[in-house]
Amino acid sequence: MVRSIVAFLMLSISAAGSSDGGSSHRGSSTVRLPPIANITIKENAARAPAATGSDETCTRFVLTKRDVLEFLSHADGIPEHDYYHMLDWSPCYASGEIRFKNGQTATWGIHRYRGGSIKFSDGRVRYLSCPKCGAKAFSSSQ
Amino acid sequence: MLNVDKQGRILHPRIALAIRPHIERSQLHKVRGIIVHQTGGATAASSLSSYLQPRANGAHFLIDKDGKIYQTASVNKQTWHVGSLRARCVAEFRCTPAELRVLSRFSPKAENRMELRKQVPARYPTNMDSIGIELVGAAITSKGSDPAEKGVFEVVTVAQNQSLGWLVNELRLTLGVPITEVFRHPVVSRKNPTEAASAQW
Repeated sequence: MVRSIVAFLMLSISAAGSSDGGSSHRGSSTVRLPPIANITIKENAARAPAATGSDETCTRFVLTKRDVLEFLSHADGIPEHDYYHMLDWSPCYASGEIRFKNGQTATWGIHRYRGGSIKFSDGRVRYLSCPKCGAKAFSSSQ
Repeated sequence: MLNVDKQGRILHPRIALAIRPHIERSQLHKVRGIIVHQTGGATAASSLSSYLQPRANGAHFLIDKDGKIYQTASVNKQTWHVGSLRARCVAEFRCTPAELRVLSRFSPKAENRMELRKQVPARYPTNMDSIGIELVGAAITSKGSDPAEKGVFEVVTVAQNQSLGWLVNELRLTLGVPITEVFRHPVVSRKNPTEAASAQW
């Protein structure tokens, strides 16, 4: 249950990886999210506006609230450059809103290749990657 | 032909040196391709600043919206700007039956592994053998509150395209890169298809 979320979700940035650059991100720092009051899902199996020309179908990319919470709990925080250039991009995404216990709000997005973002109401953006997240919707693409 | 010093810095009045050692990786022995990107961020300052972070990733050149060119890494060093490779044989309609078997399982990781066993021009250039050029350009969403997954890259400016054309041509002549080995990032990797879509060289 989303209400039972622990005091702070820790999104830690992982150490650098292999030289082929497949999924390598720079080393450690930590992003803290405030305690979450509620998560809502606004879109599932959605197709990105940029997806012209892609024939990838998105109907199977459906996340539950539990999947979203797992992603936010275990994702690594990554720099903007790495989000756009190191992660695979998928046209398939889910998105929604987060309300924090401190009253702050944000929108979240997660795409099929385990990348995501949180945009806070003050304009700040955090980019995320969760290679270890195991939701069924992710594995359907691998 | 560009004048390149022993440190891999280009000495030319059109190129401002802003070398960021944190984005440099191991030796780049032979340049076989050039990859054109857009940053995702709205300003050159944000990219130049982020490249100062320990173990940051970036590309060799950065072109601001007014066309100003920065060299941000030595052309003798690799930078990590490409990501996992797409199978080049698909775009060029020449996949072997064995390659088609790998691709039929739709695993980007397996596809990348397959490609890394090849050499250019059988595969696309990678971090190991390419120069990266970043054009400053944000991924814009229709509503300000939308997440990055809904972003569409903004149009490359006329000044950026003029500088890009000059830089690509000079690098090709200097480093011996055929025009057939210059690519937009989404051609070689699974990326937002609008990245650098309006780039011209």
